[in-house]
Amino acid sequence: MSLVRRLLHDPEETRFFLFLSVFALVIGAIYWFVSYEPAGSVLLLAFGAATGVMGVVLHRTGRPGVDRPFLDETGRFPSETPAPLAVGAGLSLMALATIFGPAPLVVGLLPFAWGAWTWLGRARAELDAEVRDDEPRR
Amino acid sequence: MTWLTTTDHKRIGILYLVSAFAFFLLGGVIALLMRTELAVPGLQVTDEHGYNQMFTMHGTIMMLLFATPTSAALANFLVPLQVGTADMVFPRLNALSFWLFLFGGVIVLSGYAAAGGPADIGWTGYPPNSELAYSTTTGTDLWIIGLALTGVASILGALNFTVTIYTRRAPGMSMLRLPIFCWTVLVTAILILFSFPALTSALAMLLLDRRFGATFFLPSEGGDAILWQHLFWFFGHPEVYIVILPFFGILSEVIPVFARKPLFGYRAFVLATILIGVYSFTVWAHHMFTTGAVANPFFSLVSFIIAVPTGIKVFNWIATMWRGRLSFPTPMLWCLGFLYLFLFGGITGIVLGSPPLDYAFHDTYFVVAHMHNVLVSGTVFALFAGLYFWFPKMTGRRLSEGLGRIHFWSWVVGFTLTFLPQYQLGASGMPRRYADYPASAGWTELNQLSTLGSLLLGVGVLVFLVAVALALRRPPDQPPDPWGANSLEWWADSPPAHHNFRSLPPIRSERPVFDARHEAGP
Repeated sequence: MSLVRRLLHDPEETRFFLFLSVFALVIGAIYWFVSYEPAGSVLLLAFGAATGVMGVVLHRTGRPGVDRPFLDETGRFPSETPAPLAVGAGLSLMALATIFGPAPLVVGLLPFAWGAWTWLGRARAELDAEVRDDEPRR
Repeated sequence: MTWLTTTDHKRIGILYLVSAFAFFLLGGVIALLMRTELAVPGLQVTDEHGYNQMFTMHGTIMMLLFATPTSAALANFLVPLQVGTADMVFPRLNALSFWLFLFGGVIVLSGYAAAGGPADIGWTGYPPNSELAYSTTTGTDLWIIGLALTGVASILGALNFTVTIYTRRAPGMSMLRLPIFCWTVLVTAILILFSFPALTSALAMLLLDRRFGATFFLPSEGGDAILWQHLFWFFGHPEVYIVILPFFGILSEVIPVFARKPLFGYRAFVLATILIGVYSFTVWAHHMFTTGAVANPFFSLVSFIIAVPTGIKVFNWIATMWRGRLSFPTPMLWCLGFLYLFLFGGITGIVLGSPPLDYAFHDTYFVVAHMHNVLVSGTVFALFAGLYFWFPKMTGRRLSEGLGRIHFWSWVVGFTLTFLPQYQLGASGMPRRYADYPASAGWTELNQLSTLGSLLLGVGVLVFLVAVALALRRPPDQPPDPWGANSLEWWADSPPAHHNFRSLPPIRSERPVFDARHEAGP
């Protein structure tokens, strides 16, 4: 199958990114030749390249012929957890270190580390439970 | 307490909504103070420096702490429901996005407690004004950090929306059966993914300039102040559509319900949404016509072109209403108010897209009137349409129709009184961002009219808050689909259970709930 034909068979979401990429690259090239202005040209071409990367990744990992969408409802719902709050508070405090010196960094590191540890621990536990759920089916 | 630990998309959506609305109230109070200052010549409320801080915080709050997160609020609540899934793909990341946004906003506002007060550099933060030599307050550094955090929050949220819409749609819901609101959220999320990094980079460079001796934007040291404008507006113009597109989606959900017709030209609408998103990356330098450093004809042309898909949408909405069985409950009134006022903003945008006219109007009140016409009608009117429409889904209660109508008319009259005179003020040369003007300029009466209008807007918001308080005092009594609506959220209970759905109807079009109702018969 030719490349063009394969692209036409890609799902809408893949074609969407590829369309963005082609558009931005073409406009970026036109913009360069009408203005020779580097900042805007770099921004447009980088936008085209970034969307192109996403389009190509989706194209290569896509499953042509599969009736989308997939109803991928496997997995468990996360239980309530203060981890995102702690990570958010920690990150925010740590960012203030760029203004106020190392003190907020030290203070922020505690909730950040605790939150990240709790987050990963909960995610691990859910994954393990999911594997246990799947075992009888195998 | 459970609100602090929640990962439920509906609760996170409500947290976003309440926080963003609190920021809106604060931004509104600052706007009223500015309008009071401008009501008569002379300085009464604040001095020039205080006024600089006021318009900086007003713009920052309204654009980045209210408008952007409000669309995230509605998207959080609605997207999983509309695509027929139980939650976002990454629920914990979703919660982290909210907390980063909230803490970022608090850090921006903490400038009020800093020595020298909050940032005083305008919401656009142009160097060299934002460099340390000209803005010595720590509030400006807090502004940079706070906005960088809200930017990261937006990027994480956008990633979550994109993946959820791509991978969690219910069986049968192909992309071209996706509710229009989800389409607008998807395009918005992609705009965020590719535009916010430009802002985050620019903020990091500015912080390096201010705190660590870098010279990115300092012309005297070999830097380039115009580079900031490129980076800022490469984010800033898509930001306009980031703010507006989800609200276009709201209109496209509400109007068909009260016209009793499907949305006219669904595919054309989707295409127009994509085109607006794509074009929005190519028009940033129309904010920079007067710098002389950009290709004005190029940016003027693409700025005119972007009006075409926007016009397609307006045509879609009008054609949807054409020969429909129209009814006018409060959400529909807000949609009509949006159409009336947004058209003013769109048409004056064409005026400003023309470089010769832009040279005349640049930095005058004409620009202020234009951007408020686009952004306030585009966001706040559509937001109120959405809130009156989805409030029964969110809470199980309905907002008062009577108070809703008072709220609506106070906003239509108040908005017209506030911003229409500002076009004339701008055309007669009144500059923006000035705390005072001479009595001899002849601008006093129009400014007083504008201030009167803004007070009416404030009254309207108070009426809305009363309506919400009264509604929340009643027990929930709303059925799953009180309006006879179309998309999947109306299949769930009001308010929805934790896992959203007990069952799903077959999905054979973009209006599955309408289809199910139609098949069930009267």
